[in-house]
Amino acid sequence: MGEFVENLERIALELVANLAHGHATLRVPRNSNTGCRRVTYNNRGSRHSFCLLVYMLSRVHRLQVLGGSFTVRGLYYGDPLLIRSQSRIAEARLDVCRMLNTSPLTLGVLAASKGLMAGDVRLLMTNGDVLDSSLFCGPMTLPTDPEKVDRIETQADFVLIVEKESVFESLLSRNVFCTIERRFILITGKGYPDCCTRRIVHRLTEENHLPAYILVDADPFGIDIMLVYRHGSQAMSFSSQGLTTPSLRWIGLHPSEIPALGTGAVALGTGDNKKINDLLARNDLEPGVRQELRMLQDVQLKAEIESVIDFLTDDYIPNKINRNLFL
Amino acid sequence: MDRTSSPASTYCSQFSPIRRSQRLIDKENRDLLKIPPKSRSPQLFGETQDECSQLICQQEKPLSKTQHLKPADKVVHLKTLEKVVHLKTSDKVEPIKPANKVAHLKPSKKITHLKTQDEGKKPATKKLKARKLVSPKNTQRKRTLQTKAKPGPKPKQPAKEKRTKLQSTFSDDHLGTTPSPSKLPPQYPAHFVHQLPPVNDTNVVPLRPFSAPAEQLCELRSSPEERDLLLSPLVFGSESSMNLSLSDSIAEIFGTKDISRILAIRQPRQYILIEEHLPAMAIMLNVDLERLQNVLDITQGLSHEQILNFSIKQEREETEDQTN
Repeated sequence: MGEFVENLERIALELVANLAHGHATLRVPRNSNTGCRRVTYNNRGSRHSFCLLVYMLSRVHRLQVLGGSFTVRGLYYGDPLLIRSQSRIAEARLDVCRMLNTSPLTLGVLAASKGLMAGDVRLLMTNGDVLDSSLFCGPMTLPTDPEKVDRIETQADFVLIVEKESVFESLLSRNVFCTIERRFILITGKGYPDCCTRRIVHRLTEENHLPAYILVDADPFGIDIMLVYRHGSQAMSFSSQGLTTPSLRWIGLHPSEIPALGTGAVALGTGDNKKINDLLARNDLEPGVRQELRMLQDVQLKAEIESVIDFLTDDYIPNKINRNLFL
Repeated sequence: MDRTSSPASTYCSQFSPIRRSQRLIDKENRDLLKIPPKSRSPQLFGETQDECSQLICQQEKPLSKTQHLKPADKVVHLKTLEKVVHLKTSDKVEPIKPANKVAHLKPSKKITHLKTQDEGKKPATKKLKARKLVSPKNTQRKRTLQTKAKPGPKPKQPAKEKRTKLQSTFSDDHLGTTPSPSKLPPQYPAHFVHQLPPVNDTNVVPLRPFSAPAEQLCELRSSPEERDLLLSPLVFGSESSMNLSLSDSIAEIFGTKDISRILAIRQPRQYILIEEHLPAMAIMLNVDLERLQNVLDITQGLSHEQILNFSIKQEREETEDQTN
């Protein structure tokens, strides 16, 4: 806490010094670590962004001194005339995180969690509450602040992450916990996962020593989602610590099995190919993932998890895990 | 961010002009429609379905389909002289207040004397099913004659305790796999460096497939010894191999073979007896049909307490008469 307070106060002193010289400018590091971009009051186009950035810096400083947390949504409704939209205040939050080189969770600036979890898991909160997944009538929404989770209790053997909520619900409706005769935890981030979901997955693998498997569509965006879980977000690469699961095992769908299982495979589009090129340009790809991306590029077909939904629980998932068919 | 709404994923397939996002949505909707309506969470299963014994009598047409509610449900064929009859109540069994009476349907003129029938007519097999929601002993007596139907939603059951932690090394990951051949390719590309060969059938840990009615019915088929026992002299010319004894039939209905326990029902229960089932009841009880009708007429006018006390008094009177 002290480090963040010092950094915030240093930024504020620099701003005051610049104001004395007629410059109202804040420097925000770029994602790619190649310099900074300037957010200045003097420029009419960035004036509102400057105001929101200062507003966010002040709120974060208050959080660090007094404690607590707030959500982006709550901030917006606190002063909608000033903020104008939630996306603007969300961008300001990210800028502050870049300036302080930390994650929003660490600063106490939260977003509504969208991840879902089901299975053999209990979250013991710091205030004494126990969130027991088995007691919920349906999946359990992950807590907004994962740092409030004191510890996670589970007898599960592994964690299974699915990309889409529809697949998550489909598995639950098919009694996947009865079909697969192992205790496991089922999680979905509903697409690109938020920090809370990634944090919970990270803690399950690190603290509970559970292997984590992920099931995504055999398309560039599905693979990108898998990489977000594994390596973190490219947009928030400055704050990946504690949010990544490097040991994550990608069990499907794999582009290499589209010819064999690809009922319902469809052609790639322009956006898909561009995404493949962006992914191949990364330097942190595993060789197996790179091979799969090249295969995807070669066959020019993609497939969704729904194409194997008929035998997903009694054949695909168990045999993929049993035969170690993961990357 | 939900990818399904991302404009970046839009494409135009040569086969369909539908956008991918819409196609995805349609496909998801189709798949969701295919999924049986079991949207209830696993936690909601089972509580209301594991009730204690209830007699369900339901009149069915001879060729009507019957449904398996669950593998745990029992389906019983009860036999008469010339036909196999299932006794079921069409309504729920509900507790009666003490003032209520045990009611039965008045005998109709349609009921004929079975003794005269069985001499001349060919046996007409009429299979009705009695359902019972309890007594796991009788799961063996499922009948294959009925039409198969999808089992209902299974209650959430805790995972078996025979589980082992998956090790960080990649050797002992063994989930259950189906006995049927896997649809996965036997060999994956070389970059799957950890891949193992397909699992042999001998190593398969039997799963509980979501729908495998054929296997379940195989398990529930009665043994040859049971079938011999079921072929009692009461059954004439029946083509069915499911002939339950009277005690077994009563056990199916009431959940116990102890008649005294059945008669000593503390909580009044109401059974709806359809008149067409009276002949079968008469055969089950080994009484004359007219006598059964007379008894039911008498009991219809009695209260629950009177019924409970009636038998004891009668026995005492009989014993007194005998002594005198």
